[in-house]
Amino acid sequence: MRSRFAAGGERGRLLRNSLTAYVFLIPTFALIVVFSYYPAFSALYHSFTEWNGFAAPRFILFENFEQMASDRIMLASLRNMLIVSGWSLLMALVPPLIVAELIDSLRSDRAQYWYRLLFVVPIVVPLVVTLYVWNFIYDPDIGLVKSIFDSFGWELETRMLGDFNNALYFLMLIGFPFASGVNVLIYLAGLQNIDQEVRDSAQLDGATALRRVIYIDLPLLKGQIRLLGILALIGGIQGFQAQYVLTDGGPGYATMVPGLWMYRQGYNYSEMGYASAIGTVMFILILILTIFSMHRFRSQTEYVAD
Amino acid sequence: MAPLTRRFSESVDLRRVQWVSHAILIVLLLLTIIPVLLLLLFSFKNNTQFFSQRFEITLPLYVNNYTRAWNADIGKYMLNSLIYTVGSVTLTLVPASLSAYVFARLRFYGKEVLFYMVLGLLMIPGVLTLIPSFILIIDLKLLSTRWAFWLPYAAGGQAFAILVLRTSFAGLPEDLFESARVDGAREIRIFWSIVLPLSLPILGTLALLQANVIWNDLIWPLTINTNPELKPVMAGLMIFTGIFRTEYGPLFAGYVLASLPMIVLFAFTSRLFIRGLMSGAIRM
Repeated sequence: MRSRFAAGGERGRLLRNSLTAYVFLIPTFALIVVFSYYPAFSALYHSFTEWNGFAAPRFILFENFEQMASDRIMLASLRNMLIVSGWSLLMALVPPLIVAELIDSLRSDRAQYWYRLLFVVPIVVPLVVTLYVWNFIYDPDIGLVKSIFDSFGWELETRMLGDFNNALYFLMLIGFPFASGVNVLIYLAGLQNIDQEVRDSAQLDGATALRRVIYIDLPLLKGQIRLLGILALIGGIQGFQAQYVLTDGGPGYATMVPGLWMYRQGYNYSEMGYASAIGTVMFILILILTIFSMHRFRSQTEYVAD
Repeated sequence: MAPLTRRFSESVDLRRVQWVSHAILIVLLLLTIIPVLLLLLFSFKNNTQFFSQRFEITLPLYVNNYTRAWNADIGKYMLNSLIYTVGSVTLTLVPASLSAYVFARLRFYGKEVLFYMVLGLLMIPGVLTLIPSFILIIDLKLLSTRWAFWLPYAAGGQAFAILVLRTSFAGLPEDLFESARVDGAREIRIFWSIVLPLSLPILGTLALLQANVIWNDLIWPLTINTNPELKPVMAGLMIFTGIFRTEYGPLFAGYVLASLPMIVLFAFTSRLFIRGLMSGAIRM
């Protein structure tokens, strides 16, 4: 840090740095102010209005939010959202960690390389395709699940995605075994950056692999877990593609989630004000959860440079 | 226990553990890959086969599903997708790496606030802004133009790219910067000739991740583009999903064709991609 005392003094340097920094930041901020912040604030503003999307909005204060409190479908969708995002958090964190630990345990570099590649390649399959294929797997009349049950002579009791009580759970199983994708490699990167001597000596002290994972690996993977966890929660709270393509929130509203309900309100019923209010509630939920988890798992990524 | 036997039993143990690892990984891979195999299987069926013997290999194989998909202008749509993907990725990474550099390496007024303004973007639900963004595109007279793809995608990619690049740039040794600054190098030169060359793997990885998202996106193209000449491939494939009758064979053949460029790209850059992902920059 010796340059801090160089000619011009710290203040002068800070000023000059600030000018450079602002110039560097112009392209990013031009993009995000126009195409991210402006639409977001527009949505926040319109959540206090009655608006069909094009005519002049009418200001109605909190009426949209009051309406939401007595909207039974909205309340059901919030419950579903909690279940789904809890599950997607778990599935984004646990199976990839198991795969990463298994790959890491291999001694052959070649084998490691191939597993890394094969576990990441499935991300090129478009989500729509995955959803279609799972829909055919679940088809209650000629689907794969049904065929397997038939070939064992078992009776299949549920109509899966058509089953009011269970549709949500079948929807959540899409993507099984949840083991592929970039999460595996992100964990693996974290594991291989851990000092191997620490891990080896734990092993020599007689710690089982499971104890090593819990007491050494997990604490040192905090930065990865936090990022993956936050992204999974955000995805879980907003996500509605599966419902959009497969169930339309049904049967009834058994699989309805706020994202889809908002989309329906906005596009099918032209209730843009109410849709914006639902979006605002989702934004606030995400904000609270993110701030909470940033606080709870504070990590050490601070550095000084001038 | 004598040292020799101990070492012997240890190695037997280790080898057994290796096999267990392999076995579990292979089972997981097979389960992961089933949907891909089914996609391939479906792409060779006509509708009769599809509805009678969906999960069996049926003859004849309808290879002409692929010709039909190709003749439905898939080639043109893929070219469009390519133009959107390359343009958007460039427009994402150039601004993002400049920003990440100053967030990682400079001390300046308002740094915290500005950084949280970027980070906060991650928390805005995409659906929340869909309609206002659509109206913005109309107001800017960008509806059904290529800019309606490039600029919003580039804006949407900023937060994650900056977050990752900042961690990556911050990990570069400070000595490099010190000596360059002593030599009187300006920030832009340091950025260009030191930071960028050292960060190619992570830049490549981010490019690939974002390209994959844009290539496979469906909702935004359907929202802001009405010109059939400008359709990207995922939207173009909707031609096979009719209201009364969906032709699954050509549809899935189309999806296979549409996935090929990404698969080829991954195959050729897998080493770089994995190196970037493994660099440890993707954390918080």
